[in-house]
Amino acid sequence: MPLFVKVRSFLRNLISTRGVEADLDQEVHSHLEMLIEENIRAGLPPKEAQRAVRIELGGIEQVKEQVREERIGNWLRSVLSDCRYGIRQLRKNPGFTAVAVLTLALGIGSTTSVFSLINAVLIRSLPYGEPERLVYLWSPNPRFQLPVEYLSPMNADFFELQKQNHSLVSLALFGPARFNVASEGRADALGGARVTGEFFKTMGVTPELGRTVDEEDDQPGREQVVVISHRLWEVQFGATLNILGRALLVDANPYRIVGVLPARFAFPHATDAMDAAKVSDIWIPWAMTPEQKANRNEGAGNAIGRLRQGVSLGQAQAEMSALMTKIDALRPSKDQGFGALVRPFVASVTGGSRRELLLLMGAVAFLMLIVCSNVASLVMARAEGKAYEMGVRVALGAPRSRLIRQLLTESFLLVVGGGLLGCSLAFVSSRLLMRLDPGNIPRLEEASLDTTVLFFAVGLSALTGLLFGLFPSLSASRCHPAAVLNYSGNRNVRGGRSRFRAGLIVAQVALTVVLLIGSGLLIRSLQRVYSVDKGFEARSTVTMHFSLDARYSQPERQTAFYRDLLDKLTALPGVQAAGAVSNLPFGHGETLSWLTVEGSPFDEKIFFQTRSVSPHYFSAMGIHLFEGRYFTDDDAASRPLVAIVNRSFAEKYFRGQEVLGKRFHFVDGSPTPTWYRIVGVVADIRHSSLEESPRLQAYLPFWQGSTPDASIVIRTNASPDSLASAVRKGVNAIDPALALGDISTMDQLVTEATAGRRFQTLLLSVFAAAALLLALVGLYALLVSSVQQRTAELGIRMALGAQQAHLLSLVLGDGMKLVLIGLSIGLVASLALTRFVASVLYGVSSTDPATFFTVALLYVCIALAACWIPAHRATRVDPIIALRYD
Amino acid sequence: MNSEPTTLLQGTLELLILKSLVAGEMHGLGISRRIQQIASGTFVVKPGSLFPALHRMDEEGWISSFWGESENNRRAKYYRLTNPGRKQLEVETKRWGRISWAIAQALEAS
Repeated sequence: MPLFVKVRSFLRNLISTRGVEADLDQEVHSHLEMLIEENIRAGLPPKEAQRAVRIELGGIEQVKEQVREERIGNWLRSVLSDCRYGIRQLRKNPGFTAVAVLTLALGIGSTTSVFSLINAVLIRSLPYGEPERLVYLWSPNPRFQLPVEYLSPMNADFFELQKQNHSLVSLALFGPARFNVASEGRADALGGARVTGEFFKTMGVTPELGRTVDEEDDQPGREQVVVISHRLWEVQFGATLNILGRALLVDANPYRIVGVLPARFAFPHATDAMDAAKVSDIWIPWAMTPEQKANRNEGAGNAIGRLRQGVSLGQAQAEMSALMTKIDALRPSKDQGFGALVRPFVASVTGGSRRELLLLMGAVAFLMLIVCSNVASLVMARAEGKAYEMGVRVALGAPRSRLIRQLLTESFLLVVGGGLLGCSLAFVSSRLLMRLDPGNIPRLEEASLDTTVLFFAVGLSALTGLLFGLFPSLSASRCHPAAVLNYSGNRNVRGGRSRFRAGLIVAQVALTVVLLIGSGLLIRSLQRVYSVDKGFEARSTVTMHFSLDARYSQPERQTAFYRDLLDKLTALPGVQAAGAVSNLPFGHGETLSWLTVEGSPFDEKIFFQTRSVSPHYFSAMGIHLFEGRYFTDDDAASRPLVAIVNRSFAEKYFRGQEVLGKRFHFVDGSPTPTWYRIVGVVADIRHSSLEESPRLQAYLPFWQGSTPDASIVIRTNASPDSLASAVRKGVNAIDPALALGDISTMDQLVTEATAGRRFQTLLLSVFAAAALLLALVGLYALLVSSVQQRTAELGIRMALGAQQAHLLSLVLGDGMKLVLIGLSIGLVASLALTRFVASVLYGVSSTDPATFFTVALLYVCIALAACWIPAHRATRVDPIIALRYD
Repeated sequence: MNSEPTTLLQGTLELLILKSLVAGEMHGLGISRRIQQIASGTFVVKPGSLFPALHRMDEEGWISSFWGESENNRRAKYYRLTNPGRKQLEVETKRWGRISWAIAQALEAS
């Protein structure tokens, strides 16, 4: 087998080099001696014989070398020897090597860790079977100016679509919800969803244990089954295998566990649906009654479907629109206008964070460019120092390709070192990033260094190596030996290459300035967001969530429960006020209503944020009262209906008039309006985002409505933990099946609401700082080597009487000239580029003069400091030594 | 035809080595002398080309090597033809036939 023979020879040449060499040596020597013997036999004297043989042979070493070059795997041998030589060279210059490797590690590490985020969030497939076939189905109505995600199909419309369509394999509803889950004597508030029977089939999930909820379960009377998450199975049931069939009280009803889902399945995640909990742990059948299914005025859940194999999004959209036109005609003409919108699921899931992540990727790409140019500049500086050596090697006949390979090998070694260190850096930093998880980027917590990320890191390193290694190698190997060797030293070897290095420095400065301005604008935005007037006092509050189950369907029972609870809480030591609210600010839920305000025409484009609040809610939240009064316990079910509105509401409808006593009513289709009389005006509240200006807001008394799901706000100096246990005791005394959910403080909720912005700002600032550091190192290195090269020139200047100050300004001027050119380019580039971040800025213009000015000033100061050291060194040149320098 | 030794055409050295080994196993010097003999002294094979060729052919698997005793009781490395080597000889011989015929034709034509 020739191939086998070749492989064997290859391995032998590679592994037992010494044996092969000894063999060759013996062979050539025995050949030599046989030749000598032959000549002696032919009659030559021994000395003559030896000489003749030497002539014929032409040198033992040459013969051996010729054999070596013919061997299989010779290229590998020469690569290895290049590597050995390269390592020796790098070890001789530990300073250069350390700076280059660390710079590369910083660049590769940060790029890789940002990529690991992008991989986890945007690239890695979702844990659902063929997620690209999943679609959301919305039912937008042009009459309302609302984001589409607010409008799910109305129940009756949904079931018609489900029955009639042909483009989806299955279509399901899910309704994010919180449940009181009690088992073995403890109650917990858990997130989850009510789902119709097709839900798990649509998602394409196979359970880890048991089965999922199916169509059989989705009927009233048969719905007492529950599927739990892998997390809940582990945390609460110790991952026991005989979990199936266990009993669980869900909202005080007995349920039976029939299945456990795989570890990565936690849909809906808080970022997937508007009012989903942070973690979804249980799923129960929806089991709608026929009346619920026939409701054409309420959309109870979110619709998700799976496209039939081979059906495109456009086809599905066309069919759904056509069907919806027919279905919409079934309702009274004044209510019509509902359409159908099919949206790809994957894009919806990742859409929100895509822009944020791509911005980070852009920033890190800038950083990477700086890294490349920095290392290229360092490598060139070194190559300049080796010009003489290169000249000698070319003169001795080294081919140019060989020199390029030698120099590229060194770059390659640097990249390997930088890449390895960079990957460990990425490993550490991805752990850190998870700690900072802002909660608004889905599946960020799954970021890890998997094979995709490692391939990326390897590819990135290779590209980097080529980028910074190729040009210096080409330029260094392009040398004319005569020119180099004629110089008695390197007294004035300047010119093209240093100009190129100077160009690199200018580019670095410009890139860094762009990054600094970008992060400066984000920092200013963050400051603005922090200083926004929220309308309430977030400090010293503790909040928690309750959801009352079907036992509390009567409003009187709800009122009784909350009155009892709030009384108990107010009596606790350290509690100043306690109130209840239907939707907590920053609690991921909002009720939007249509109102008709007395004296103004109804406008269906205006939605009001409405909340039910108990009397002490305003004082517990520290919300300022401008006019009138807060609610009191006398605003009860039997009393006249009253309301409190916010300042924007009062100003929009009653500017310059008396507000108190004015009335409004809800637009809910009922024939006779129910009027609410305004008794107070309070401050505008930022309810869902610090960055959105407050809408029109109205508050209704808790005791006059029905609010099974509510949050409690307690103003107290006690710690949340100690208070929570006291509250738990109190709740347990009232109803042991109820659980406290989402225990938190308003401070924490506000912090969470700004976490995404903080995360982005922090990362961008870290990259900008890293870029600044690298650019300064680059500038410093350039000046140091230029001072070194100009030692003789500086010495002459000094000998001729130049003042120290003059020399100082000479070198400083050289450096600062580059900085100023780069700075101007960077400022102009920023003017052009920052409009891409305008959408993520808040309260700051993308050309904010203060930011531009601060960055420019900061840069000049820091650059002066970096230039000072080499410039100062230049003034310390001793003319005598300098002139003997060569 | 005993004039100046000629340099070898590319590839012909291998053909000659294979051919000379048909007679039996030989050491490097033996092969060199054998080539001189069969080519009537037209070619002189210098060690600088002989040894690289031998090692290359060894790695290709056309010949195999072993250490043995020379005629004068000296340790020497011997080469012998392998089966792939025999096949290679056929291939090379045919190829050479074609080349020399083609060159002869070309020379006659002019």
